[in-house]
Amino acid sequence: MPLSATTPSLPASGRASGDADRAPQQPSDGALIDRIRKGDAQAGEMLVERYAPSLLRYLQRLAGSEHAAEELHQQTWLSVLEHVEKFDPAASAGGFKAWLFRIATNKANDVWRSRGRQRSATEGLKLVTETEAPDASHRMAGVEQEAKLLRAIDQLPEAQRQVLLLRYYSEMKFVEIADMLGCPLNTALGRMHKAMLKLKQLMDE
Amino acid sequence: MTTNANKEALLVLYLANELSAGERDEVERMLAAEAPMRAMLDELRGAAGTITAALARLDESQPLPAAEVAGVARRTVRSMNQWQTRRLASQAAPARNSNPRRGLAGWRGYALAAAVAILFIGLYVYWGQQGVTSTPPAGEVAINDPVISPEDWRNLDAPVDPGNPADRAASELAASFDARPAQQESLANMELEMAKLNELAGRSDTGTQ
Repeated sequence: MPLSATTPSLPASGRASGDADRAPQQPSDGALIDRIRKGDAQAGEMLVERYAPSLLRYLQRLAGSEHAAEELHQQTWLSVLEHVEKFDPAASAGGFKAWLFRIATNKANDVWRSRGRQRSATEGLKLVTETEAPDASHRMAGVEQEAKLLRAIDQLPEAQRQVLLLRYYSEMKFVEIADMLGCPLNTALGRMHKAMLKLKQLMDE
Repeated sequence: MTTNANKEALLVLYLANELSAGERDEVERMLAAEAPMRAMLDELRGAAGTITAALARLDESQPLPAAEVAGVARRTVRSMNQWQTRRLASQAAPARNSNPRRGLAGWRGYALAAAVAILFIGLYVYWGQQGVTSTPPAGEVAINDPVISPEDWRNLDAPVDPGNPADRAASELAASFDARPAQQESLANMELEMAKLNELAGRSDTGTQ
């Protein structure tokens, strides 16, 4: 039996939006970028709506709180506007999506460094424990698992966490992720490998 | 030789379905031949399954409602529009600041033009006066020459007498005017201006009546 027949894909949310997932009648990212360059505000709105679900989720997991995620989301798009003239789709492997997630990652890194990891991790845990549940006993086990996962994610080295979350929420290919992070492909793959094993070990503890 | 790091990288790409058909066949040949590599794949596959499921559960337990996403998108778009407005305003500000400079330059230009016009008018008036009061060149007879006596003025209609000093002086003066076209032109201009002034005065009189 071929091994690939039973091979599950690596972590991916299956909900990432982007140019490849758009309806045929929808304008491409490149067309919208051109319109933004000409000052078309509606084009910006369309791009924001296209990427908001996956980008928000990614930032939420990276920053550890909804509030921080929204703040980063805004900062990311303002940065997109600020540098849209310099964006060259041909220069980056993942196109606009990779560029967008790179900006978001850099913004999150800035916040992470300035506020400190501990505070973000605490906020992230608080989000989990404050969630209302219909069935308290059943919910408790779930909450514990989720808290464990969040703690495990938080314990990952930053570089590994970024690769894992980028893969899951943006669903970019590893070639694109490596290009986005500015590291060799083998480095990105090594980080992913280590992140998955470490996360599994932390979850099993 | 394929190192462990390379094998890990290949297995990640293999699980992600990001290998070409040829590379995939090659990895499967390696997996068939190497038990340790198969163990690595199983370990990685198990971890991938656990993590994918855990992250999916986490996202389900903390859903991002469409309304919430739309709200964030709306607020983001608003801040983008505000940013664009600020940028346009800052681009327009230097242009506005340059206007006063242009206005000042224009004002200076007008002042200079007015000064030049005043200078020309002054020179024109001055030259006009010079034309009337200038001392005639040597050899010419001045209009107020004392040789023309009050009695001569009373005999203006008398025929020219070459022996009379006054008639001779008048003849020389006329000849000197004939030889000076500039002065003639000046006189003609003055006559023209006088005629225009008379005409205007006449119009003004008929207008007020």
